[in-house]
Amino acid sequence: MSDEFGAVIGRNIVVRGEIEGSEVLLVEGRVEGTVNLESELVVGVSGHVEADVNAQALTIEGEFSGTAACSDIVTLVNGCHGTGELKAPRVVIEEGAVFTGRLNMETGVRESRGE
Amino acid sequence: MSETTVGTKTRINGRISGTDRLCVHGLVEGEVAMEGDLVVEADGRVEATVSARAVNIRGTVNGEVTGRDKVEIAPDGRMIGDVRTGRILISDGAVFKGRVEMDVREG
Repeated sequence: MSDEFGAVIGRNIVVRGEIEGSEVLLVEGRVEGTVNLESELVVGVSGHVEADVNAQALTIEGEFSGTAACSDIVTLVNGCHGTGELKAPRVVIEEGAVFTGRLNMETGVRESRGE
Repeated sequence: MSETTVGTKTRINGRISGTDRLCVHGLVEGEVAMEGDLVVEADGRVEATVSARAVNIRGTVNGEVTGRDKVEIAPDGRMIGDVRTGRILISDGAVFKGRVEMDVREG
């Protein structure tokens, strides 16, 4: 499993600040701050992310609160808890996922042009 | 479960804390406060104030490092900054510039 993730924040780790990258990031611990990825962010089952996220894709299996702008897809998996604002051309909410907040599927964040 | 790895294509600027082992292939800036070990791999770079149980430097570290147990600089490791630790190991070929302070603990 660990092979498919370039970066992993383990269960007992807390990161406060800014994360940038171009490889898949799996969070099983806690991340607070901002995350800017050219790739996918996976909030694992035990993961807790409170952040402003810019990524290609976001998959939430654990807990997410904040804002996310994805160029491709946001997926909320059965059992997850999400709050905040999600922007992506495609948003998938599985049965059993819990989400409170706003969804915006109109503005594919391809190129940010003003508002 | 999974140990914490900052991959080659990842940069973290901020504070990382926790009880696991942290393995850095990418770039970490800010502060690292671990109860476990920190391993800075050959392709890793840490520009931070570090405290960890053992600090193993195979890549580059710039900053103040506290290794409660030990600090080890491998032959390819580069470390610039002050080290405070119980034990220090610097291999032949390693680059180190800074001060070393060893806390000698009375049994």
